[in-house]
Amino acid sequence: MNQRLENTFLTAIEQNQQKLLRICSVYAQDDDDKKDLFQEALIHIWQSMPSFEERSSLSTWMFRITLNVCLRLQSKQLKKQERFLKMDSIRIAHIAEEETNVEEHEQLFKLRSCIKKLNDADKAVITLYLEELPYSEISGITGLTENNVAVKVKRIKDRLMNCITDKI
Amino acid sequence: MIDDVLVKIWQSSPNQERVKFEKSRLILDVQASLDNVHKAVKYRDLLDIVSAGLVIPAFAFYVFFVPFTLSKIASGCIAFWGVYVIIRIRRAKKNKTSSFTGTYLEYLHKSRAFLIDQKELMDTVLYWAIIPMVILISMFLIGFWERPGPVINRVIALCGNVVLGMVIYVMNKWAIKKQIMPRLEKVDALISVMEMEKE
Repeated sequence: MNQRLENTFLTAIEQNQQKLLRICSVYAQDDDDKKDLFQEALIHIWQSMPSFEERSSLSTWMFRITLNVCLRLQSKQLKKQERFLKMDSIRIAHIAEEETNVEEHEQLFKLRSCIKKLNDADKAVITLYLEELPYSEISGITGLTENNVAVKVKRIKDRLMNCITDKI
Repeated sequence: MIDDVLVKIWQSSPNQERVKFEKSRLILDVQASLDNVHKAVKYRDLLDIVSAGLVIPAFAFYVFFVPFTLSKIASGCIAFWGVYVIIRIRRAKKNKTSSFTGTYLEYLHKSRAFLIDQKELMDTVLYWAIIPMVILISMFLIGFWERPGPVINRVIALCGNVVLGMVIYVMNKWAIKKQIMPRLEKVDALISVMEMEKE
């Protein structure tokens, strides 16, 4: 890999790390799982960097890889077979409880647990939507048409609001 | 309104957890992990080749050096059958999803094709692997009966061969039920959810 690709990769990771981590969080069972998925996604992004053709933005392309990685590796069987990656250079740090807004934390916890109840396809669509990607990009990542994305998003948002309200 | 609330809640996570990485080491780490993945894939392929590489030459050797006619014929057939088994297993891997750069729906379809190939391979294992194996190994063993020996040993060898075939059959059925079918059902369900709204 040349220096230009390395720099592109590092910059893209730096800019999108939180978004990728949030996507992984809805497919993960716990923090370790989330870190595993995140690491695995990074490796596949790095591996595929030379084949990136700039038909979509780099971040859209990274989301696509991350979603596919999460879908594949959440299977317990595959975890046993394929997860043997340990990258010490990555840590997921939790900010001390007193520094965070407790109400915000609770709401996020509820939202995540409601998203986790959705099927994988709906999870993919709604996480991309919540990352504020336009319908055209969600369509490019999922393979659905823009109209289908819009219909799905509306239905899922209603379900999520109901779920969050129920939890309150 | 709903949009704003959900997006705001969703994006509040950076306030609670952050990814920290050492930029200088990340590339080295990622590349090392990638090398490990490649090594593991190579190791799996090597295992296929080595196991075939042991069985095929061993029985090809017997064709020339075993003195019993039936064992000679069986050895030749086992060597050819070994080649066929390798081709069958490799063919079933051709749809394995190794790229993650396609759309989610493309990925699901590729996964489905791979799982169906695997299921078909395991479903038919009785015909292309177990029956030929039991018959050919039995022929190979029976060939040795030209030379006198204790009957009990012969019976044990033949029974062992049949039991091995049964174990392989049961293991394959178990793998279909416990590993392949749950994944196939899940992928099917996801595809139908995605495509239902396409219509």
